[in-house]
Amino acid sequence: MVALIRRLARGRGLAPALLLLGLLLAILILMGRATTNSAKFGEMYVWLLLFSAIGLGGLTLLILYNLIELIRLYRHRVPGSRLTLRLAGIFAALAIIPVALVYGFSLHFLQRGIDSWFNVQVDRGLEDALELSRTALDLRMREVLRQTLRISENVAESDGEQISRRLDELLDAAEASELTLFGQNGRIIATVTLDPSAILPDPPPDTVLLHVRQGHNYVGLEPTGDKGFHIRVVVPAGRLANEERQLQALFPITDRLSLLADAVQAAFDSYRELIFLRAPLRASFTLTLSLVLLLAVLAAFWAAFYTARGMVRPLRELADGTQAVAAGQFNKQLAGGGSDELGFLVESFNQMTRNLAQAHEAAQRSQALVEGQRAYLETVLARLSSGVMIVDQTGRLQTCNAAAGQLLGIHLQDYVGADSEWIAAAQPSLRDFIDIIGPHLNTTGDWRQEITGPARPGAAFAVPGQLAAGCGWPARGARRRVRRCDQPGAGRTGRCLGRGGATAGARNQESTHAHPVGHRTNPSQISLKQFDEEQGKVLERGTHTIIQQVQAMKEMVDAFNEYARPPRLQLAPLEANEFITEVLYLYRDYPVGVEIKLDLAQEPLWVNADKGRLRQLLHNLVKNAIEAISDGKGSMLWVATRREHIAGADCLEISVRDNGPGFPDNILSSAFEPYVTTKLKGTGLGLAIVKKIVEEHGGWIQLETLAQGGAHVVLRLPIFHEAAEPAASPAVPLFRCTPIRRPPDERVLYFSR
Amino acid sequence: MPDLNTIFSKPALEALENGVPLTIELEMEVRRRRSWLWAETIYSLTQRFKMEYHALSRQYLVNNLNSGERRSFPSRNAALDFMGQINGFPLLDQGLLTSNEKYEGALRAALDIESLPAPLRLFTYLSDDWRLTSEWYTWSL
Repeated sequence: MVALIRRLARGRGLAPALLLLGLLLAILILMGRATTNSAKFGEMYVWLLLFSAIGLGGLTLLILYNLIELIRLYRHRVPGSRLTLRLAGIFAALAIIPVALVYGFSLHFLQRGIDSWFNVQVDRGLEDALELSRTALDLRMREVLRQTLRISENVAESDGEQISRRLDELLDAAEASELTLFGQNGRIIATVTLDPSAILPDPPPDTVLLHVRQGHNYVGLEPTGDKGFHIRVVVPAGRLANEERQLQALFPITDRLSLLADAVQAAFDSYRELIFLRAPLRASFTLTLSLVLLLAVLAAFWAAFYTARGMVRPLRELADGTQAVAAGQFNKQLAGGGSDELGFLVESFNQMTRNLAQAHEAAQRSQALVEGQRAYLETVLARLSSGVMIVDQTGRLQTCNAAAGQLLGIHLQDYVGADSEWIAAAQPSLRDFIDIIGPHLNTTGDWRQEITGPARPGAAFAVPGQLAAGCGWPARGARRRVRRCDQPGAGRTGRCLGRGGATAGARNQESTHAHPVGHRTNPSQISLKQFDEEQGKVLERGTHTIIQQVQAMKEMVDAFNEYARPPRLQLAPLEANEFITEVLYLYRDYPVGVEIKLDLAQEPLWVNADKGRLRQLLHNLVKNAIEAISDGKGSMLWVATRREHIAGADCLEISVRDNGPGFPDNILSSAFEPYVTTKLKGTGLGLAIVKKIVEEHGGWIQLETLAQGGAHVVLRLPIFHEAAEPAASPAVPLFRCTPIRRPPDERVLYFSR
Repeated sequence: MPDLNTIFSKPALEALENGVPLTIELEMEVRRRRSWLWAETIYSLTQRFKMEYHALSRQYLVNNLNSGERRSFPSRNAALDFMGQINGFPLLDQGLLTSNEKYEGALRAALDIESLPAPLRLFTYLSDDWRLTSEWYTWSL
């Protein structure tokens, strides 16, 4: 019971609430009947009233409890309570107004209706009818009084048996139904009657006898039984032997007269009663009507609460779900919200969270992949014996690796963030070095120079500074990682050889570009040998050491190449259009302000490809494009496929085009090199990975900035023929790009012994 | 002899004159008197009378609902006297009473509002005018 009340109080339990309302309605209907038909329901009227009062009181309390609870939630700003309260208020107001109108009119008609039952003319007519009946009967009564008086005179002197005989004769003559002679104290002297079953005569009331003893005559009309009348006449009948005697005569009324009189009496009676009961009747009806009104209002309130709660519940769940997603909980699924629009909303939300969870998972996988590659790269970089310093435009040292410090003979990490002038002041031995590289900080292009360091007597520095743009590690991460690395054998030589470019230095370590590194290490050995011959035997020992170091570096890089080699491709036939649609599905709602348009070939295009690698390729391309153009409004991204016939072979061409600013000129030449990026947080590996993947699949890729603006990436992959050898050697030219430079933000100084 | 007039308030009389039948209950009890405690009721009996006014004949009709006896009276007082006079009513066998105890008879009249028409009844519950019960009239046996 308590549980039921609690359920009801919390706005649940539709069935018990409906049952309660139905019960109350039944009680009120019975009450209405009881008011009009007292015979049937009159007995239980009071109980009905009591029960309905209790039921309505309970309902009122329930609604009050609901209201208080809702207001409490509203004050605590519980989500959904505001809407619930508002909806409940609206519903209640909507219900009350029509109900109140109906009540007002009903009350009015009720009063008018009851009043219309009564009519002055009907009233007077009935009274007149009654009076007429009385008059008609009065005539008869006067007549029978005279007859009785005559009989009384006849029997006045009689006595004994003579009386009975006389009375018997007179009964017939007078057409009376009973004649009785009373003596002292109502003693019956003689009685004759027409009714053979009557043993005792019908005595007159004591007051009548008293009245007659005082010498008056009594004549009265009396109803007999359920219907019909008789006339009772009592007159003094003289005095005999000191005993006062009274004669009573009963005369029947003829059937017709009796019937009419009865009808008049009945009509008059019920009319009078109705008039008398008018006020109570009206009050009773009003009471019943008011109870019905109360029930309707309370039911409306209850329904308002119930409906409002029902409508707000899915909204509240949606709000909770949205908050959960905002907090990063992407696997949030909501319970079904029904078949209406709210249910559709809930289903859409569930679909959204599923997609989000998938996208999140994919992003995490990509991030883990990138992180892993970066970790390998940095480990290798830190172990390089070449020194790497990154200096910004103002000459401030951004970061350096351990080898740089050891080569220069100072603890260079202490100067990270310091101005070059400040470093020169603190370390006078570096003055020459800084003076030499200073002018080159603001120039473009590679620069290479051999520097003889004073700090190491007899040593010569060859510091080729190749300055390149857009290259850089996240400064903080780089610093941390550099400190962690050690530099075996560094600082033992007095001669340094710089080679390659700063970007090349970084590039050399990148897994996907491991091959060129190996090739470039060899020339450095050669140049070192030439250098050695030119300088003579003075530096023979040092040169030997350098050769040893470079060899060690080469071995290490080769080892890294081996280590960082990507897993074997798992080639399988793949339908490109379907695959692209599936991959790009993830981006349909993702970028704000970027619209992706697919322009896919009608025919199915099959390629033999590694699904995972190709997916990464597409992600990199699309993500790069979106991030490059997403700041603009109304940006567009087109992704198209078509079949191309080039160099005697069919190939799939995928083109990704946007209407953004296009590739910066200086990027275009080196876009496929690792660590080339225009983004603040990019790793610069995206396009390098793309190129690598294209190569792996025997494909071809091209970047360009369109004349009308916008970046355009075109890549071609060989079409898969079932009969043909899968992934044959590339049939199309591998790699082409147009180098254009631009002033860099940072320079990377790369140097080594 | 209880004064039955006391149980007729003004609204009750008004109802009677307007054709509403009134039901009157006569409660009769035989009690054994005790020294310190209230008297013990050893027998009780209720007689119900229905009284109504007959407008045509200007008579008051009394119907004893227990016995079915019907009488008509030219005045209200005559009708009331009839109801109040219980002569030789076979109430209790004399042999059931022990001679060394003191007994009393008690009589009380009340208006039965349960038998009033439903619309009127609602108000009789709320109004003192309709809570009509006479005092106990007692006599020694």
